[in-house]
Amino acid sequence: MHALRRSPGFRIYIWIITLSLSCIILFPILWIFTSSITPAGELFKSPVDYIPKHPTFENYRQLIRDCGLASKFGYTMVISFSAMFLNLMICLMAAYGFSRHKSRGLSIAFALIVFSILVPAVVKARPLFTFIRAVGLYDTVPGLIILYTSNLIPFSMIILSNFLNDIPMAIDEAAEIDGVTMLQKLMFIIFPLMRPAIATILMINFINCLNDLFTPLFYASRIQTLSVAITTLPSVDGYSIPWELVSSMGWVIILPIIIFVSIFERQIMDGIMAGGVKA
Amino acid sequence: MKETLGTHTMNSRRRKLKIAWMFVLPVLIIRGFTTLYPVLSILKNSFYEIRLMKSPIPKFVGFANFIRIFTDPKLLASIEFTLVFTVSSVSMLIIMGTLLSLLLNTQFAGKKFLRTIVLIPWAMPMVVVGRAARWAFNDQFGFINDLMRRIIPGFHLDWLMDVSTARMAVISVDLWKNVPYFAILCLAALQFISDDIYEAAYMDGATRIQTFLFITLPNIMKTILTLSIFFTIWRITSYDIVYAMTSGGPADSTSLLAYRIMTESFTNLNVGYASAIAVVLFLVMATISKGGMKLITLVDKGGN
Repeated sequence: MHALRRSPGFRIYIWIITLSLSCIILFPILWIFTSSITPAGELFKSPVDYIPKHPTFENYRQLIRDCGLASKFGYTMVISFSAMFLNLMICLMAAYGFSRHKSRGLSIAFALIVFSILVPAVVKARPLFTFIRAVGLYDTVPGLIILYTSNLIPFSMIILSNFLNDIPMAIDEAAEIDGVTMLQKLMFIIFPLMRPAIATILMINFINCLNDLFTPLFYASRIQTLSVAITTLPSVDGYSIPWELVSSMGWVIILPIIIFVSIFERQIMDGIMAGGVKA
Repeated sequence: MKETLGTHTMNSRRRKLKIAWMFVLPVLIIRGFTTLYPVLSILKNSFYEIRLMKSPIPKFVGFANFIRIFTDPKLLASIEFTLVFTVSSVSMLIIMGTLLSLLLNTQFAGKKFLRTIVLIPWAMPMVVVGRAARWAFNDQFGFINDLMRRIIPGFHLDWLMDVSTARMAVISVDLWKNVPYFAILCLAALQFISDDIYEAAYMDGATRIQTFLFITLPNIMKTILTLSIFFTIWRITSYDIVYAMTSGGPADSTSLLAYRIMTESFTNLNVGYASAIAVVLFLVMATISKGGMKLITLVDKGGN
């Protein structure tokens, strides 16, 4: 808490809690990693070897060779980044529309978008599935991109609108007096000012896209993202889970996340808090 | 002259408003088709019998689907576990999350390290956590029993095979992933409390517990309540955790309401009935948010 209170005893106490907490969080993750470099046969052993006796990358090789890891990774990245880009474009435009013009209709529309965050995926799944199939977007990359984009909209709208509301109208008016076109004004004046908000939503949206299991699971079958693929890995007896493959695929997903989070810790933290308090 | 100026600004205002609507149109269209349309659609479907296995033609049945909800044993089991899961998980989240947020707000050398660590469970996909947990809770080869056996030799318990232990396992996995998230959101409120108040309390000789009870807690109460509403709603509609970890078992004992809706509509193809459950779920959520908001305004008034 306060600087005055930091007696040595208090500091030791804080460190003890921090370290035990880190163990609780990191130990399972580490166990996933060591499992992933353990030969499949040695995983069925009790007691568990936390440091593998014969470390190997065979599980990863099998993922790439037999389980089509590359295509799953490719789909995940293409869909996530396209959705993030599309979402950014339409949300920037919409945030501008909502913040620079006021009318009853517009406020109702804004409230609808923000409150639509409360409609859970399971509630809308069946009608949306029928609709997506009827328009021929089921199991297609464009279909998934649109659905991912839709999922990202409410949070992005909250962050961008709040930020834009703090940019004074005087800047717009000055630009208009100078005679620039609408497009120039947005591209060269307003959007560059919004860089911090844009960075925030891109980071949070990236994590949310990687985390999405529901959308690719129900609106696609042939196209598999990493999140779906980890549940469909083939097991020997068809019943138990193939832990050697699950752990290595888990690690393929976790490692980039850990690196990403370590680099952008501050920004991600601020982003979560900015969206949460307002929501 | 005056009049033309008037109509001119009116026209320009109307023109600008039109542009604004064009700007917001893409977002409205996408959100409209992916949320508004499905919600209206389940409202309608909930009054029909739609069994795709039998016939594709919907039959109007009035409230029959809703009545069935309260007599279907599978569904009652789902409701029961959803209640147990939500109440125990949310109350633990509040306690552990608040404590963790206090730790996150402490100035010490390990702050950056701690904050990074805490972000990892939040950022990890629930499906990865759930799949790993399925193996972690395995009786023979999972690390949980392995660590137990190092303390109590010969310890054996097949967590996911027994109703009550499977439920405990699901709840603890949910806490592992979401306590950090709750704490980060709570931290936002803690950072608004100025250091001066703490200093004044310290000068007055307040103990640490007094400071927490009379300064920190009242200041973050509103945030904790708001977060509780959101986390309650997210718990009620959790799907990934059950899908990845237990597939609803053993014997449907961990099949949360959200999981049951999906089983009814995509496996049993009982679309009308599934819609009715979804409508009830949606109404429950709306009531919780409405009631929660009211509670927050009350607390807010009492505080000021």
